[in-house]
Amino acid sequence: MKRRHLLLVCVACALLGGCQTKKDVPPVLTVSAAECIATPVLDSSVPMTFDGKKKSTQSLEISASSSCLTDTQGRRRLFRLLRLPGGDIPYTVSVASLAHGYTVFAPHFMLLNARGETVREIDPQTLMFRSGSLTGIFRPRAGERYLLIVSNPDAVGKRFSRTVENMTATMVAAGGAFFHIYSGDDTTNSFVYSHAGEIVITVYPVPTS
Amino acid sequence: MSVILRVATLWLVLMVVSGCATPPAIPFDRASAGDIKTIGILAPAFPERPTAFVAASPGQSFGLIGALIDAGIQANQEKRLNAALDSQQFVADPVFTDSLAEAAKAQGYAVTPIHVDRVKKDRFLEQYPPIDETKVDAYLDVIFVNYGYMAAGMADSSPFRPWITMRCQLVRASDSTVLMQDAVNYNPLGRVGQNGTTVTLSPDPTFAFSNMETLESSPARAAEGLQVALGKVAAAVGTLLR
Repeated sequence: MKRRHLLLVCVACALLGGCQTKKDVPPVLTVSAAECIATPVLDSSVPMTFDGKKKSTQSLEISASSSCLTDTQGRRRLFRLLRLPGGDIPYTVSVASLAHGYTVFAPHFMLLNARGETVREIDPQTLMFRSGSLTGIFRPRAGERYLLIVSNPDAVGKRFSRTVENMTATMVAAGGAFFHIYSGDDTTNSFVYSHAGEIVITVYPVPTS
Repeated sequence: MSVILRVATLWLVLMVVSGCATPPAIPFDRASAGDIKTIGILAPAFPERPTAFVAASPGQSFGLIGALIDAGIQANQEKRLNAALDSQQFVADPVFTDSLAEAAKAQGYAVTPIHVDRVKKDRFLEQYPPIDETKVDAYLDVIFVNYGYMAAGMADSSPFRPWITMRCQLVRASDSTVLMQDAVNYNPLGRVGQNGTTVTLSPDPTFAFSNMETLESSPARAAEGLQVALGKVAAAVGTLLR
């Protein structure tokens, strides 16, 4: 019986492990890189994968040691450059900034042409929280070849709070049987925008409704 | 029995909106959508009445008997919520439609309200009105899956807050192409940090009622809370139309 309980605890821990929130990390509020460049090097771009049919997802980290860009106002911003999938099949790109504890990467998205010139900026006002991650969704247009994800100094350091309803199920053993006890709570957390964080990029075909 | 069915449906809705079953969003690309100047706002589909829902209740652990108890509790709470809102003559449809029209106008569109008879209130229209009758460039079709108040649990620490689950799509009038499709959830159930497709709006903290008695004692605030929530959802749809 003890072995059975131990097994149950292990299973519960494994399940709960998947539900853990990401470890808290301090926000990066200033970019201290020794050197920043004015334009990203196209050859250093990370290819985005998409076979034209199935949704593909990739995760990227922007850390204090990531490449740094100086914008036209002289502000330092951390960035990652991605190469958009080629091909003629229309697709949608979703870029989500995930919360790491109470820190959220403040993103700004720009689309560049084959020469690395900015041809479109995704209006930061259009970014919305989707299931808890600050997300931008867009459809690349003809001539757009690269996605530049850069930190947004206008937002870095700003705080915001979000409330979510949570529901948890706890497995309980009684009289040789196991059943779930459900409970709910209400959590309000305060977050701060950072130059660094984790982003998840999802590419999927344009749905046909 | 219909109450049990309703509880089961709400549970299903919760699983869908908080999990992975939401269909992928279709973002609106204004530049490539054609010349969309006038949007016809179709009369939204609303459930017959607002819902009062407790996401986690003790009865869920006890099978059919627990479900029957939960269904009874929910029916009672819903009755009390509806009585409170009725006392304020609160009607969600015009509140939302007016806010949505303002949100669309703020994005530079002209709007035309369009009355439609919906046979199925849980899905988008299968056929849109003829363009020569409505003279609009696109139709904005909105379905409310649920609206009302939700509490995460029975304790006072998980208060009733306004709760809305809706879906929307923008359809080009000339050829019925779906230009935008999305879902918005006000007061989401789920943890922060999840990656998903549904737009999630954090509830306004000023409208929280520790239990149904508190809500009943402030019916004007309860109606105002729902009005604010509907306005925020409408504003979110406006953002999706940028």
